[in-house]
Amino acid sequence: MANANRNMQLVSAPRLEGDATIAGIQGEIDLHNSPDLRAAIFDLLSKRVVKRLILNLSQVPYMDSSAIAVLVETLQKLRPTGGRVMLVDLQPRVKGLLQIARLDSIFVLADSEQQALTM
Amino acid sequence: MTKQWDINSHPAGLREVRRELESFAQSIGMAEESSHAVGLVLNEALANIIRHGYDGALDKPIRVTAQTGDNELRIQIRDWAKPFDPALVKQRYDGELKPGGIGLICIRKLMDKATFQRLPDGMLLTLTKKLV
Repeated sequence: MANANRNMQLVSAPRLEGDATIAGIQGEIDLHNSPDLRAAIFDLLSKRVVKRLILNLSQVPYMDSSAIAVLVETLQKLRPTGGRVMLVDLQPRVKGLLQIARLDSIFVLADSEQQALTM
Repeated sequence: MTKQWDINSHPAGLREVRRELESFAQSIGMAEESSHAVGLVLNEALANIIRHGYDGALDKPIRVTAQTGDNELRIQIRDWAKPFDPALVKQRYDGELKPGGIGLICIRKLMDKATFQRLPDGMLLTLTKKLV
């Protein structure tokens, strides 16, 4: 139960728009809570067929490589069925890490949820 | 000026030591953006020690020392974990869809110098970054 609550704090309840599933992530994410992020996202994916996963990162000031690894795993899970992971409104430190790791090109990056929905 | 942290290998402690190092770096004149880079590198180095050196054990010792001099910040990270040879880590290619190896990229790209030294009872990682 405690873990479930932590996951809910980290990832907001998803909402559906067309074939897109939209969820927001909140807070700094490092090795301490990236397992919670993974559990929350994989729980979400287990409950529905996701073609486009739009993750709003506007409330994430910091992410480390363990969090990026969760996003990569998510994309690995969705790609075989043509699914996409779209990252929205990245803060500078998060965007910088994706660029350093040369992973900014494997995700779809958007400035807003609205923009992501049109991509 | 020197500052030292003796921490254990619990991931819950990463955030505090990262933030304190970033504050220390800014207090000695490092730009905010560079201090964030240093903080990220420290986080990645510690996470690698916790995950790979100590195999996820939560109660093992790690010592972090930050020192200024010659217009640079020098950080030493000492562990008593199993040896690590960065040359043996398989390199990522750009855009590769795999989750591992990002921490080492950060260490190499964001610091001016990174030296891994194998000791009889652990590892010593020395990182340096110019203040400007």
